Amino acid sequence: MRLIRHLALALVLISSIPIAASAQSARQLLQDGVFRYRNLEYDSATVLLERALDLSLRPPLALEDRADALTFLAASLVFMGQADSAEVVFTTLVRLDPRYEPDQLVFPPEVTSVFESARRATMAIAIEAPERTQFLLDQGQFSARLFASSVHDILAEIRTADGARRQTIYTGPVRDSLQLSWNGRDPAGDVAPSGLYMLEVTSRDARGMALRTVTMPLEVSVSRADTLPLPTTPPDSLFLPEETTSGRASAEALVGGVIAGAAVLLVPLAIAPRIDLSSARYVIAGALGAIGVVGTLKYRPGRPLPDNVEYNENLRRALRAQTDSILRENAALRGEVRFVITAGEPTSLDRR
Amino acid sequence: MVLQTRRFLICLTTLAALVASGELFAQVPMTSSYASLGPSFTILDIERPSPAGTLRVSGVSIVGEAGVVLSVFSADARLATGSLDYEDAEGSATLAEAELMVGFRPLRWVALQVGPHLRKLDTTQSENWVFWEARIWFGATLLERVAYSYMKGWLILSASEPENTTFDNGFGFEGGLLLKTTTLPVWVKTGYRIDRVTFNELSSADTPQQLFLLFGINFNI
Repeated sequence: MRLIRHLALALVLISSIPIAASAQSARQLLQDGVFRYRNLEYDSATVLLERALDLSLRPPLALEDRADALTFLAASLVFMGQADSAEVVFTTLVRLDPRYEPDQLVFPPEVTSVFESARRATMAIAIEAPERTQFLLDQGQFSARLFASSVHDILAEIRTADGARRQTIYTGPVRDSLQLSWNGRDPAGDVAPSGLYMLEVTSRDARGMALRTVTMPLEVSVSRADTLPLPTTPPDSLFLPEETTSGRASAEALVGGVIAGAAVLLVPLAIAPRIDLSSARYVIAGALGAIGVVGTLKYRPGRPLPDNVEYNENLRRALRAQTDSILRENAALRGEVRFVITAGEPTSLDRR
Repeated sequence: MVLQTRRFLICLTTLAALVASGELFAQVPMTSSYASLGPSFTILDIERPSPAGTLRVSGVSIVGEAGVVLSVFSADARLATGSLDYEDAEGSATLAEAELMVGFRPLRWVALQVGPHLRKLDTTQSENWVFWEARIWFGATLLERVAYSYMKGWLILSASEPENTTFDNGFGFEGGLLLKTTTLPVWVKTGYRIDRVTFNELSSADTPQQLFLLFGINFNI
């Protein structure tokens, strides 16, 4: 019974070991390798560090740990008298992270000099860009910074994911670092449509041959502001007639002036026939008759109505002003194109 | 007399019904008020049986008018008072009048009004009258937004007369011109007005005439 219990316990322990080992082995191997390097056990260090760098391990080393592992591995090889192998390892390191520099307090000059030799001989580029960039067309731009391992020529392009359209945004030498920018327009000056783009930077040798390409995916989203609707043409009912079309106003002026004037003259005679009536009523009657005649002529059919013409012109002018204002506003809104660019993780490809 | 008055009222009612049926409901409800003030040259002929005969007094009165318009309905008040001098004798008379008319204007060009008209005439003796009048008003546009004409006639339906006086009949007429500005709510009204009240079996009559010039202003309520 006790035997069975011990076997079961052993099985549980054994079954748990691989999980812990696979979870920590790459990092543990790195720590062990560094420990051996510091104890000057370079052979053992080399074996452990090479195993730590095995990408099949789960989880593999992180980028930073990987750079450390490569550096300690190269340093071990230097002290083992294998400078050429060390330079190959450093070349891998430079390609992995062109900005990496070995700590000169940890590694002696014989190691760093091999690294420098490898760095100078390696043409590699790293791209850094904000994860998310927002800007308005012609008011901002997308920016990415390139870091070079050594001085060399590059070709930087923005291309569609399928490569159908390409736009060179820089070609020429790069020393330590270089700022690239893209304003969201294609070579023809048109606004680039939404979609997946690639920022592609190719390192080239002195003869212009492509050595290595680093590609950063860019998810580009383009949106435009909504425009305002133009005012509709006002209905005819809003406009006043620009000339007299009926004789109604003319007749009203005639009747209202002449008849009222006549009434002022005659009705008092009927009301008070024996009274000496005031002659002042002739003034009122005359004024009524005269203004009535003026109104009759003014409103005769077919006569232009300047007040109405002016009113209509003002209405049309106000409509034109409103339309122009909206057109200007729409032009401004149409120009307001908003870009949102999401940058992905860069990948690299050796071309040789 | 009663028959005449009844016939007149029937005619007014019929006319109002006819004109109201057509355009009344097309009227745009509008509320406004107005007030005006100005001088009036007034002549008053006082006819009495012999031996008094006919006397004429004249002079300048002050006239004030005010009113409220609510859609097709209106209320108008008029006050006039002045000291009038005898033309052929020494002395003066005082004539004061007050009116309050409520009206109904079914169409732009016609309105019907009814209301009391008070008259106080102080000569050698004092006469106080209260007339109940029915009026019809006509208006026309002479020049759009600038000049308008109007005239109105009225009939005295009944009167509360002074002592020792019996009312016979009375009529009146007013015609004039209203001038407005296109930019300000002010206006000028000038017109001629006459009415005649006959009493004591047609042996006596008072006939005031007025030529007035009023300066007014409109208020939107």
